[in-house]
Amino acid sequence: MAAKWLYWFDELGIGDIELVGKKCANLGEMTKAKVSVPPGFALSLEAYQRYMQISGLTEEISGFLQRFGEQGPGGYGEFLEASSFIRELMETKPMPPDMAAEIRQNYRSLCIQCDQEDVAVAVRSSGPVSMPGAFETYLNVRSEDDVIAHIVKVWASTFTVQAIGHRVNNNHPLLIPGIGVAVLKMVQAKTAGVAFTMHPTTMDNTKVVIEGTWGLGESVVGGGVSPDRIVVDKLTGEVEKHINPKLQQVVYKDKGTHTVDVPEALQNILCLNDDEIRRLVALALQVEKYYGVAQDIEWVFDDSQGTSDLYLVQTRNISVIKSRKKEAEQIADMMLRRVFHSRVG
Amino acid sequence: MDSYDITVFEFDEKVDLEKNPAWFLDATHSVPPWTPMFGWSWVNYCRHGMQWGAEKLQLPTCKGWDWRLKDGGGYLALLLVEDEEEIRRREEGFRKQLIPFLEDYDGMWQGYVNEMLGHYQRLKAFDIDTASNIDLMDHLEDAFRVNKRMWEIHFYMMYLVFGVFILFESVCKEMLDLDDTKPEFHKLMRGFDNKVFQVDKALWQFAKRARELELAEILLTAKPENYIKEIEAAPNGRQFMQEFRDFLWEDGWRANRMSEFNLPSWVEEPSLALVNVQKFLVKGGDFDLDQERQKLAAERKEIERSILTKVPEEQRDWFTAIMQLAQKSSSFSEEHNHYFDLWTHALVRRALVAWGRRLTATGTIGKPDDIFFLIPDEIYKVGLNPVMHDLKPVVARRRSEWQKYQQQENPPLISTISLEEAMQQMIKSNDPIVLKVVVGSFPVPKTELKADLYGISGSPGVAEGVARVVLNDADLAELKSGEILVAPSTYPSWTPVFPLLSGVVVDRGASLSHAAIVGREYGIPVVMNVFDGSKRIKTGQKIRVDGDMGVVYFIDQE
Repeated sequence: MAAKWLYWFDELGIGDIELVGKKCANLGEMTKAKVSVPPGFALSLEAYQRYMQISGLTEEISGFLQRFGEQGPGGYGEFLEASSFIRELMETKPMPPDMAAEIRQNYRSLCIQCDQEDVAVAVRSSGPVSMPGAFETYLNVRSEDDVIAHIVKVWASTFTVQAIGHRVNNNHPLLIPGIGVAVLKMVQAKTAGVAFTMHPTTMDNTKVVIEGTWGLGESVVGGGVSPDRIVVDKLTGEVEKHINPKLQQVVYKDKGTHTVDVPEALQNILCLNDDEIRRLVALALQVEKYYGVAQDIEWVFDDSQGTSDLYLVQTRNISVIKSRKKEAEQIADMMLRRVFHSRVG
Repeated sequence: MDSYDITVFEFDEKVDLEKNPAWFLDATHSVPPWTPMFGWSWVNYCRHGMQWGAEKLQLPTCKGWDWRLKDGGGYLALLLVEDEEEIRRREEGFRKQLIPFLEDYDGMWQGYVNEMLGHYQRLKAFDIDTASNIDLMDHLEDAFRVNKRMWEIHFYMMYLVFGVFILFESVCKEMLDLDDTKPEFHKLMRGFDNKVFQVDKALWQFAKRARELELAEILLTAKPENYIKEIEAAPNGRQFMQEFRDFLWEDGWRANRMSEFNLPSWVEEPSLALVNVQKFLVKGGDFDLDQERQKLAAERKEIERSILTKVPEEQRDWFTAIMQLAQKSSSFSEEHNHYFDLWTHALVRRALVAWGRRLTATGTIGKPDDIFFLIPDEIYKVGLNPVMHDLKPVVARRRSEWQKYQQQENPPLISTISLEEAMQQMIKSNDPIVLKVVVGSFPVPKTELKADLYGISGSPGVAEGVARVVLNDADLAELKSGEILVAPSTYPSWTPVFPLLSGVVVDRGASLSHAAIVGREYGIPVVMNVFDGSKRIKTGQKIRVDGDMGVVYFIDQE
């Protein structure tokens, strides 16, 4: 049997970074922790290699690169030339039929699992080392054909001008072992935000602090709006609610996101009901217990299927990120107000 | 014709004033006026980098600056964002860009420096002497692409770094009533090493080495133009020069003027760097900065502690974070000159000089430095068959323009509105670079001090001494130990003379200007923004520089 190169998240864990890249390994670990992350599967670095070998791309690219001599492409112009040639070559090369068939089959399983025809997915790059922004990610991808096309696009993004330049300047080989790709269900956020299983400023570990707003969580994560704030006492279960006016929200557009006004009726009511708060706190505590240290969690409630489904999209140890992340947001606010005289934020 | 006639970015009074009512001369970089090649490069790539940086960052209220070339001078106008809706959209984008910077400044900066060092390594490895004209053409194009990329990173980082510095000033002023008119503020900003000081230290070590190898006498007695010849004739001389050239091949990619192509770099003419070695020999003793820095760092930590006790406990985390970033802005300001402007310009020059030699050999131009009176497009057009072309007439015309421009003073502002209104426009941009470098703070004369010049404090302390007015590089050679430097502005290539000085007075500048940063690290008083100091003070006049109050007294009256 051919080597395995496609894994569902529940088959993966944090030890699998070399196999499927960082993002997939993290999603796997969270799935293992019984945290409901958006369902999906990962293509390993091996899948990238298979595609490159079987379709003859490794050979064709090596052949093409010979024109730059032993030193490889030097200079921005040649990076650009190599990048556009290789990316076009890859994006027009069909996926080997056996691979395409297996991806189609697994995408159909995902549709069935989500109980949707042509479920919208995100196709994300998952490099074994962090190189933010280097490779592409595609949102709102639907249909078997599009999923396959976008996986290839993510693979081809290993030859962006920036990626080639980085390799040349650091004397790394131009052909790389590959990157992982995550294919996961798009979450339609009704409400989203962050939760800390320890008070992020007072470090009081008897509290869970939730911040949330309507729409996508990025305005909370990025500090763009004043979110609702809910503080729950872990021991007594007592809940403190602070409602903030939520004038705008971030939602998905065809590709990317945009900001729209929140309907007036929703502006001044809490973005979570009591049942949702209870479920979120229970899940947060479960994650904290699993990892053994306080967690900073990004969460989403999705009501697109008629029920209010809770997903976690990211979790991190508070000890590591606490101070810097929170500070950075606070400072960003101050910068807008004091240096650019902004009236919002 | 009364212009270089090389680019659509040459100033057109009718069209340009209609689009933008106020154009400011960039006196820091374009006095004396630029050659056509450098002016062309600046209005193309510096302009591009500035707008690229502002756009990538989504600076809420400013899209960078536009540039025009007039009589060899660089003129800038601000591209304001006035639509409220657009400002709000940009604020959102700006916040996103800001977060990773705030979380990991060091990683970001090091990443960009490494990227540039990678480009430099490639350019340095290119053999300009043996390459074919085809390859040399690619190499010139590569060098200009690197130049373009340099400006992109340059402004992306500079906007962020200066922005945080302004934020820190504003927070300090409001919470602690502490601003750059107070010595404590400057003491908070010093006691840091940076790459430029490390280069100075290497030069000091070469002074030591010259003594060891018994070559000091040559440096102390010979004329600079004979240094190399005489050193190489002496025993050990070749070994010394070999070591010195190896050092320059790594760290000597700079000319004595940062923003021009027409002066040699240290790599080309090691004697330019040996002059600085000679200054260390004259001065004798240890490298002051190391001991000085320990003292300044200890003093700084003491002030940090006392300031933090005045900050409410729950606000200390972010206060400390902003303070640490603001403290890095001095090092950034110095290091980016070394790693970005100076290095890139020296490597572009290297490619241009190679073309200058080739086109001279084919009779296309009259002498190698005619190349600075062309633009890259013209080189590309004649490069493959230079014998078939004669560019001497066009060079002659532009050179005579350039010579004329050197004799005249470009007006500081070309505008259809008043200076006050033009300044208001600048302030409205909230552009951190404008505020920190171009405008500076306007001194409020503290008349009760009965001083002769009122400025702002750049570095604390008080010193008395004899003034030395320095208008250009050549004047630097006259400078004697213990004198007070008086100049329109100081430049990165002047850093090595700071150990000789007892104080500095400059006409323009703010707390992140070169003179302030270096003065702080050497612990000598600096007064900036006195406007006409270099005109009113005369060489030889005794003056007192009060860096604590930001004023200058004339002991010998005019």
